[in-house]
Amino acid sequence: MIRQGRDETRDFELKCDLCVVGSGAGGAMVAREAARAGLSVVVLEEGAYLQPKQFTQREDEMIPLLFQEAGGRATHDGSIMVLQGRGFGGSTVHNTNLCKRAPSEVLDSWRLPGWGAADLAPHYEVVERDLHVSPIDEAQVNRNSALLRRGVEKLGWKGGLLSHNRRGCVGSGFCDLGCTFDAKENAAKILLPEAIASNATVLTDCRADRILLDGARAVGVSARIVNRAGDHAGHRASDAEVRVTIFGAVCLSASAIGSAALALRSGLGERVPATGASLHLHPGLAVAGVFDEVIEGWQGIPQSYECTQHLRFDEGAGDERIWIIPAFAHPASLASMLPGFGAAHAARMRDYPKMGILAALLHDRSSGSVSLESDGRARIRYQLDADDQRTLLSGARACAEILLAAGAKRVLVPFADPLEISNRSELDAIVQRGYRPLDPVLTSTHPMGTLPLGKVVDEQGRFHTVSHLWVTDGSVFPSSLGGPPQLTIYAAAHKIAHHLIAELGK
Amino acid sequence: MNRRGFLKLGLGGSALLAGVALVGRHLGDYPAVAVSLRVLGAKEFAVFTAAAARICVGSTGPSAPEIATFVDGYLTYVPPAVQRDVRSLLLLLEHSQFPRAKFTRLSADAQDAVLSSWQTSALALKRQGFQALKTLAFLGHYRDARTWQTIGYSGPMLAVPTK
Repeated sequence: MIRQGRDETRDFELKCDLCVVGSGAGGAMVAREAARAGLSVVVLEEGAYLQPKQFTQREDEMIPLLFQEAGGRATHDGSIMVLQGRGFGGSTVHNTNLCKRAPSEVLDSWRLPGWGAADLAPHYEVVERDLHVSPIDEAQVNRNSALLRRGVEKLGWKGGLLSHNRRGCVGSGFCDLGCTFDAKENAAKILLPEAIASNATVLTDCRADRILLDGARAVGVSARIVNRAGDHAGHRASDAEVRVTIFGAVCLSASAIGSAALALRSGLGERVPATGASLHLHPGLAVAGVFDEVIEGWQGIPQSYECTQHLRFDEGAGDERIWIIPAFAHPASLASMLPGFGAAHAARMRDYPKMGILAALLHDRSSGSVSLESDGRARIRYQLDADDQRTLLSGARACAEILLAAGAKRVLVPFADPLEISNRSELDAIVQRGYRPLDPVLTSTHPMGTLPLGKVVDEQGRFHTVSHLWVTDGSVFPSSLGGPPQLTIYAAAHKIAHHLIAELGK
Repeated sequence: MNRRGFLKLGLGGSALLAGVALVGRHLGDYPAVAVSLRVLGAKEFAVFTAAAARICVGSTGPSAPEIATFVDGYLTYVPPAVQRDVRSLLLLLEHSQFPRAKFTRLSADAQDAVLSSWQTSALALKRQGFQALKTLAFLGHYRDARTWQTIGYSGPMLAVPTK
């Protein structure tokens, strides 16, 4: 059943075999598998339960409902926006459905028994089957993606169509604000309903405060109802407290940021000092090109093509650690990204229908950490080292080169003092500008690490030093994946779920 | 790629803003606001309105007070600590030219010069403050359907188009 916390006014207690914190890719998968195995499961979700008809396709209405901190989550210095989901289905509700297996070189570099590409393959196969992952049809490549393809092909670079988990897509282009047409084959549409059909309970509007411990054993979760009806302040907790008592296990599935923060609030940093460290953000930098033709990049399926010309995963990759994808945005989000303000900015916005936008995402070697603010929220510390700064700017240079090859009349690089480029001879200026925090502003949609396999959890997903505590989300990855993590989060959760179920005797 | 986010400050930045807030909150008289504010005070509302007017100038759409009213409501969704930082940021902007004129009393050109200096400042706190103001102002501006025709945006597509 779905139990909406906003309807609750009094304290209450739940008892179950397994309490899962978070209902995104990792949480939904472990909940489904455990419920199907006969375990009683309670999933705690901080955000709301929303149905497709409630996705209004408006930024001002959907961002505060679908994103952590109303879209305002960022690193401690504000230099990297960290966009993470909240609500029934977590980030799978707002993501663009990109599905790509982790490169075998990355998995092998972890040197963890059971985590090689061949080991994960059967788990990927389950996810790809159940979530209907398939390559985007040629006819559905939108114009922003098509110009990436055009530029890549003109340069003779490497690229290809991407696979997504969507069926019945009408190409509205509002994926990032939730799919009004219910075409996302995601945690919310597939896995959570299947978990509920096997008697799992999903409690929404409920924030986990602490893991309850009895010595070195997890025995439950202390949580609180947020966002009751009539209170639109999403971060204002009500008085209702929830206690979940477990007979079996607690599973952290609240993301690389949320799970680490919950572990730290529960004092686990004292037991395992590496808790919250080793954060990778896979940060991205967007570059815009202005064309003569109409692109209307907000329409159609976003992110259906990739450029892998500058993406390697070996030790000697140097600055070849850049994944390039289309990256369009709706007006308010795009406006905050474009450089400048006032009349000059307004003039740039009038080119909106003729803009193509690409993003360079860095397979980062820099790492940061999650700690706690005084109010218990996650504090995200992360700074790019000099190599990564240069590599990311070289990625922006590659984006600009593609845009020019595709026919852009000019390219905008969003430095604080805007940089406009109109021919290839000017491309080196991008790297020469150098990087400093907030100049340009970066974005992360793929946080990973913080509770990594081998350091904080064992190779089966158990938390070190605390029994009956498991982790199934992107926090377990020991490095950046260099690509979209959702498929690997689903697959890893599927793998860990079966270790957990076996341990609980089912 | 989305660029949102409001304000995240290092410890030094938060301390500076807290000091500014302590000193600046009660300085000066500001007009009463016609709407019932939920997060901002009258002074902070006036400063944000002045900044939004310059950030969004040149684009047809909602008035600066309309933008500020929306942003005041939007801020109810963010954690209380971030609300405090945004309020303090606005006070810092208002008094950033101290002992010269307050931001709200400057000419439009002078206000533009202040915002430009924040945008490219050597101080990360000011760059961060500028980005926060810009993000919030543009969210309030471009959420409004009146802006969409100007930029050629078709808006939500809530029904499957007929072929």
